[in-house]
Amino acid sequence: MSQAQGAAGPTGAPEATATALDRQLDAAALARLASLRLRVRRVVDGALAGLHRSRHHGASVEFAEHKEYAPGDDLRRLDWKALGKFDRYYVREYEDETELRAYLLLDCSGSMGYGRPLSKLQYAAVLAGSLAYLLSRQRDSPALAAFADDVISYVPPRGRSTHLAVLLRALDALRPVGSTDVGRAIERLMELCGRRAVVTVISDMFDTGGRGLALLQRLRARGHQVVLFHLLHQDELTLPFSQLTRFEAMEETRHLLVDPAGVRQAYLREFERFCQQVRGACREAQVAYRRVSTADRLDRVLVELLRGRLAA
Amino acid sequence: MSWLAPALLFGTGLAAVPLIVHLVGRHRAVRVPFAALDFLLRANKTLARRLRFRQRLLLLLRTALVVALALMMAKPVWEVASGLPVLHLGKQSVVLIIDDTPSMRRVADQITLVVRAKQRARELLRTISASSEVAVLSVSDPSGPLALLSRDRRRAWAALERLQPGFSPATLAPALEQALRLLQEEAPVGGLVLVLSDLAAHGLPAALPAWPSSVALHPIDVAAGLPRGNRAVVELSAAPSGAPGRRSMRLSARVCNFARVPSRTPVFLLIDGRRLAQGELSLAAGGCAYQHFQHSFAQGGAHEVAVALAPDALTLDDVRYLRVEVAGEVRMLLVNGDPSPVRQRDELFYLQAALAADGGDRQRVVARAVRADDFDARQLAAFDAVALCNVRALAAAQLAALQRYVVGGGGLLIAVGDAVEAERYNAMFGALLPQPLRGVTSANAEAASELHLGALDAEHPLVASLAREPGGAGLGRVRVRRAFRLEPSTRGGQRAVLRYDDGSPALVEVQLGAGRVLLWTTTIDRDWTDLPIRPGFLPLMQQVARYLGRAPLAGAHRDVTVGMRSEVTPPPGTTELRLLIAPEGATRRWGGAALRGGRVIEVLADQPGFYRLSAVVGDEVRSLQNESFAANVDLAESQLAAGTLPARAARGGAAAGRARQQIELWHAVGLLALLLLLGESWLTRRG
Repeated sequence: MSQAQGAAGPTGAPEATATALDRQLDAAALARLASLRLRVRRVVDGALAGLHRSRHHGASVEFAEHKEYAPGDDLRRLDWKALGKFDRYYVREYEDETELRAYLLLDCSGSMGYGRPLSKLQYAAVLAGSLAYLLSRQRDSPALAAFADDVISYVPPRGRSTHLAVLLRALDALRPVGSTDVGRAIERLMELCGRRAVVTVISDMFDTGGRGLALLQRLRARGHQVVLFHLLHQDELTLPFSQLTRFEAMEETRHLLVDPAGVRQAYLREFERFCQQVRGACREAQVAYRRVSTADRLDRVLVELLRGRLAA
Repeated sequence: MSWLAPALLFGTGLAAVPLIVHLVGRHRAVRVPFAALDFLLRANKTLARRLRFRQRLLLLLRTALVVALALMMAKPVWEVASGLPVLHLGKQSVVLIIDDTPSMRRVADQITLVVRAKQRARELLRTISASSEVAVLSVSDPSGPLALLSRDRRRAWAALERLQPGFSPATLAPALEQALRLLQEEAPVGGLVLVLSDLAAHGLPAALPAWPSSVALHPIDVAAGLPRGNRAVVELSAAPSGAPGRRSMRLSARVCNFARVPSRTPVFLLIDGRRLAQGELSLAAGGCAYQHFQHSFAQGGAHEVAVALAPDALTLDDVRYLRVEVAGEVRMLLVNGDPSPVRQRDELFYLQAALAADGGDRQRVVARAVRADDFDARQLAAFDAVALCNVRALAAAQLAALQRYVVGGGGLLIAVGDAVEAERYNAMFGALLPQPLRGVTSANAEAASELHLGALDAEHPLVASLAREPGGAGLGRVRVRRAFRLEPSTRGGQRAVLRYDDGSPALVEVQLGAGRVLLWTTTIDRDWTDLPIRPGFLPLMQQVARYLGRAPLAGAHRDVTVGMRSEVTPPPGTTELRLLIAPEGATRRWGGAALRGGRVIEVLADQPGFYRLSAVVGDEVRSLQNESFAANVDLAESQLAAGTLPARAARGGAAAGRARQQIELWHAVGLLALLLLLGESWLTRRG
């Protein structure tokens, strides 16, 4: 994925505008939008509005490789020296113009179905769709692998202009099901992607297999650039319930009848320990990490990503 | 256990409410599909045991609270055998006899038996119908002012309130007779007599008085189930020990064990309020033993001695009091009016010999003799008493000083003789003489019928001890050849201590101011009488010296039993007589009209202890050592063995069987409910 080389800083937009934008981009507002495409457009628009456009956008001139000439290629990039040496037509290709393969690994296990008005899965779909949108705009090749305890939906990387629509349809069709096994999904992905790629994982990491973090490290070791969006619902971060509650598991049949007030402190301790564990593993493996709450505005998450501010 | 409102016991069914609320609450719990259940389960696992315990405790508390409230409203009562008779509910006449004798001072469960009897009496009063007549009698004073049948319960309550245990033994018979009298006079149809007593054998009549069949008798033993053992100091005496030192005494206490089992007890010796020695006695069942103490008193005079045991249930007889007279000195000046170079003919020869004799354990008399010519009134302050023996005359200044001395509290003995002429003496010593001298009986006229010493005033402390001796210590055989007759006196207050057999006074006393004057109407040597060579001379003179010198007299201290009255003669000029009873600390005072005219005061010994008397004369407070005494309880009630007082049923059965007493428990249950509520609130708030 290419990253925008924009100058950081406030947009300078009036506060009233920002407030209006807040209202348009919060989870409730997004939930009111009927289709994923509309949600993605709004989020991306919001993100782009928050960025300064760079004058050198896409202007990298670092040589990457030669490509045999095919009709339609820009003749200006024809490598005449190579023609002299090998008597064949080669076209120069540069780094920023190399087709980037970006794999979007989206957790659609049962636990991702939690939340209203926008479930974690719907939120993740908007995030993944927005990333795919941006990638498509840069003529990169986004791919989608939706997984639960295995990969259940896969859209291979393509650079075609129609590919975004295919991807968005696939995202729209996802429903939360089964248990989470991030490790297995990564194993499958490593079989699918040969070239170095950008792998973006969007998951709550409630991994039943327990190998997810280890395989993320292995993925990084193979030279892939890995980003983890650790997606959590605000309820999971605060346990705001007050009355006697029967909590039921979303991926199995277990339940717990408990007074939330009585266990809140202990729960928050346990949960924070889990988040620190995930974050620590990502730091060790140099995996970019971002904890995302469903209460966070997605455009800001995207801006952070585009500005390269994710913790590595 | 029974219930006053058993219908409300159905309320205990509400105990299921908390459980139902709990179960319903479980089903009404909000169902939330939750992704992070694993973390909740993990958190809950660490808290589960504590939470589960807390929740179960809360459930238990709430259930118990509901049950306690229901039980409280149902008013539970605990029924116990009350030991009280069943009283029929109709109108009747009831006489309550409360035993207030000393044995009822016994303590059980931290209250005396009298208090327990009063409590039972109050319970009975509550059960007796309002239309019934009730009288309350005490055993010690059965014909007291409240001994009347009345429907006025306040009267009965007040009588119970005022009733306090006494110190004097009494038997039940007079109270029973009084109860019968009341019922026969005021309730001819009969009635019920309830006796609340420890039913100790010593207080029960050998046989009931003639008992009409219309009157029921029901004894209630308030000491039932209590041990009947008791220890008592039954005797306390003091005697010179024979050890070196005139003030060494042997103090002996006899201690008895009235229990049926052997006993050991410490015995304490207290002198003048201070515990000085301790012994220990082993007492056989029903046996007695002596505990002896040896003590040397630092000072002469009267001392307060007490012997006490470790307190038992009846503390009244665990201590005994004794006033001990310890030898001191009486300083006496003897003025010789007829000295002689021949010792036997000297006026003071016999008197000095008598006073110099050892007085045993009593105070020593130290006599100093001077010739009448050498008499110096300025020396008087150094002496407790003065004897003028056949002194012809004194100078006016000396006479005036002597009068001041006597009025100020000194003692004076005037003995006559050949040197005394009646007229001159009356003129010179008139202010001091108890009665004027009339003249000397003629030797010739009296030759045929000599005088003999006759009647002793046995009540007078001076000769009381002599009067108790067989033959009056030989005074009756004393022959008197010559003696002065006395004129009647208009002064008043004189008292003939000793008389001749013809009735004329031989020894006359008068109080002058704070002092005493004794007139001996014959010679103090053998000139007119053979008294000096009779056995009674020595003790009589010793007593005279101690009496005039205000020393404790042999036999003067009284062994007073509680309940007795003791006569006290305040010194002239007394404006207030004070009594302090130790160790209780009670005080009494007499003054004004009570003391007018030198009246004798009767002091009632109504409690055991030392009765310390003092008199206010002018600005001075004088301790009346000779009048002070120790009082001890009558030991008739120390034996606590139970006797039998047969119950009598009246025709119609006024008293039959035992009642059951109901103890209300709802207060306790209410308190429990309150505690449960507090516990529940605390747990809920803490969660």
